[in-house]
Parts: sequence; C-alpha cells; structure tokens
Amino acid sequence: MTPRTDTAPLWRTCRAALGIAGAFMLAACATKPHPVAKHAEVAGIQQDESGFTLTEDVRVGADIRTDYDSAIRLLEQKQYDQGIPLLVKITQSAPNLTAAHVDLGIAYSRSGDLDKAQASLKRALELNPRHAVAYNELGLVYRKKGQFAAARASYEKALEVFPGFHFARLNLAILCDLYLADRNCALENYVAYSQGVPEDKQAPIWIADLRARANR
Amino acid sequence: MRIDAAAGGERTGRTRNLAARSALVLSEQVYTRFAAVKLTQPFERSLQEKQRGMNTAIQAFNNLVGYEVGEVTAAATFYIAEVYSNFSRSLIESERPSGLKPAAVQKYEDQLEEEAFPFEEKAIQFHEKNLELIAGGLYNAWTEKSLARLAVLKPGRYAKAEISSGFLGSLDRYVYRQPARSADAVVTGQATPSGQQPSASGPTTGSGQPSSASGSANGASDPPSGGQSPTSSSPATEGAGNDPTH
Repeated sequence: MTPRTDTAPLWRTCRAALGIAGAFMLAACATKPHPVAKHAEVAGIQQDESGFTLTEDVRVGADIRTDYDSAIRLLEQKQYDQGIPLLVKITQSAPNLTAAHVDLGIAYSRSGDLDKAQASLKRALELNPRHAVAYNELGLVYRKKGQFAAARASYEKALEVFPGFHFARLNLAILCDLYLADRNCALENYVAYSQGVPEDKQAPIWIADLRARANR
Repeated sequence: MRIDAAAGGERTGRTRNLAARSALVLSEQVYTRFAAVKLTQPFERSLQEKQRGMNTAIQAFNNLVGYEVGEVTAAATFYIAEVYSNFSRSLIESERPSGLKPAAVQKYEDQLEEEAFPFEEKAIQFHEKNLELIAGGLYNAWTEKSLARLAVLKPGRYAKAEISSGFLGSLDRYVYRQPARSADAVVTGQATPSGQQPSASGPTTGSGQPSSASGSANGASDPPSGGQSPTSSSPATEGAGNDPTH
C-alpha cells in the first residue's frame, strides 16, 4: 500500500491550476510551506495479513525527541502530573506530531480527564484518519463517558483499518456484551478475537457462555 | 423531602429530584448502620439484629424508587444488591460457636454457606437489574459500580476488562503484529519485521510469545503483547471490574 502523503493534494491542485506549461512554476508550488509539512511530512500506513505499520516522517529537533522520551517514561510510571505537561509542551511546539497527540489522549484518559482525552485523540485522527490505535483509544474514552454508539463506531473504524486489530476487536465485543446487550455483535467479535488471539484461554469460555445463554 | 411530599399539585421535577437525593443520603446512613452489625455469638441475637437492619435498609432503598429519578433508582438498586451481598458475607464470616469438634465445625460452615448462597444470588440479581438500565440508556456511576461488583461476584460472566494498546512510545513508527501471527513467526523461526526504527510488535519487545490476552477483573492478568511499544510501554486493561466499592 502506498503511503498517503499530506503534500499530495497541494501538488495536485497546483498541477491542475498551472497545466503542463507551468512545470517551472510547479517547483515553486511544491516548495510552498505546508502547515503539516513543518514537523511531519508523511503519515502512512502499510499493512499485510499479519499487521500494520504506521509511519510518519518526523522532522523535529533532538530537544523534542528527548522531551518525548522523558514524557513517555513518566507516563509509564503513572506520573501523569509531570508527563502530561511535557507532552502538552511538545504538541504546542510541534502541533502535527500524531503520536504525541495519541499518547497525550491515552494519558488524559488514564488520569480521568476524558474531555481532554477525546480532544487529543480527535486531533490525532485529523492528522492521520487511519490511525487504528487512536480509534481504539477514542472508543475507550467514549465508553467511559457512556457514549456507547460513538464507542462502537470508533472501534469499528479501527477494524476498518485493520480487521485483525485485536485490541479493538475485544473492546467491541465487550461493549456489545456488557453495555449494549447486543449478543450477536458480542459473539461475532469474541469469535474473531479468539481466532486472532488463540492463547487467550478466557475468550472460548466467554463464547461458550454467550452461546449457552442464547439457547436458554 | 417533607416539602416535596406535602407539595401536592405544586410538586415539580426539581423538588422531586432534591427530595430523592436527600432520601438517598439518609438511606445510605441506614445501610452503614446495617453493614456495621457483625454476626457474633450468641448467634441468634446478633442474627435478629442483622435481619432487622436488613429489612429496614431494603425498605428505605425501595422507597427511593418511588421518586422516579433515574440516578437515584440506580443507586437504590445498587444498595439493595449490596445489602444482600453484605448479609451473605456476614453469614460466612460470622463468629463460630466455641467448643465444636472439627467435624461439627465443617458441618456448621457447610450450613452457613448453604444459608448464605441465596442472598448472594439476590445480590447478583439486583446488580444485573442495574445493567438492564445501562442497556436501556441509563449509564452513571451506580450502574458502573454494579458492573464492577458483578465482576467480583460473577467473574466468569462479567470480569471482562477492555484493553488499551498502551503508549506508542515512538514519534516515527508504530508496528502492530497480531499475537497469533507473532507466535507463528517465533515458532517457525522467522524474524518479525521490525526494521531499525523502534517497533511496537510483540517479538521485538523481547518476550517472543504473546502473553495471555484476556483482560480480567482488576487487571490481574497480562494483556497481549501485540502492539507493545519499544519503550516498555505496556498495554493496559481498562474498565469494568476495576472499581469495587465495598
């Protein structure tokens, strides 16, 4: 799959406007600064049957990378009061770093600030509308907020990007099972999840339980 | 509460709401008093006191349903379930009579469990009633608490925690590999593609095998390794079953 480039629409617009004779001027169009191009020029997804890779051509200074690594270390240690401000600082100085917005969304969600989590994850999805991780995390946020239809839509979006994304598959199954009382949806997604994660010994039990309840 | 009850035709949604919330606070005090009663020897006397407390508490919470305020109804349902649960647990944990021989102690405890079981079943039924409210569109802290309690009382059915893939841990690249595929790659000796950039796939985290992928209550079991980030960002369990209140 060809990585999607953020500069492509600009290029097409210029080409259409100028025609072939404008080739000389095209170079000027191509070098016109793009708002996204400043920090992250290319956001792409490559996938095969076993998984996917999200890439972003990030051009930031060493200071931002150092801050990002520090923020992640702090957040892993659940030091949200220190890690979140560091990530906020990064997203302010380099506003188009998708990963920073995703991680900030996760951090806000874990610290209980669901509105900010939602805003960060939505920003990440504006930057990369095929970010399966962001969709899954946004689904979790919506579920915590009791917005179950939105949660379902978000998990389904993640699965549109990659149907085998087991995080979203399990989360959708649980949403349908416990919160939506949609037994068919729950069963379908537990089965798909169990096929993708056969070492999870709980899932077959849950599937059997659902089938037994359906037969009662 | 008195103003609302005497308001007659002037009763409004607001007075009803305020009265319901006030009544809930008072009923919570009744619950606290009931829960504080321990079953001690002489057993009959403490049992009678506990039973009286149970009846009073259930009556108090049943009265709340009449206000027809969704959140208060959910709270009342939660507490009625907890009354039964507490009674069941109190029986199991009650003080044993002194002087019993080991065989008699065993028989006594079997009897206690037999007596306690129906109350636990009742607790489950009432918490499940709250889940019906969720499916009906009412979701609040009380319905969520009921779900958390069910994850403890009936884990096989309800201890199902959602999973987060964890922090990305890299600005440039995130690699996801399905756990089953990662395991295949390890079994067949194939390298899982990771490149020079940090990878988020399972095998590159050094574990080689995906760990158990079941999200369980209280996050007790390990979530799957697929999608794990190179900076040891770990996927995390979320949601139901993590917030037992009692």
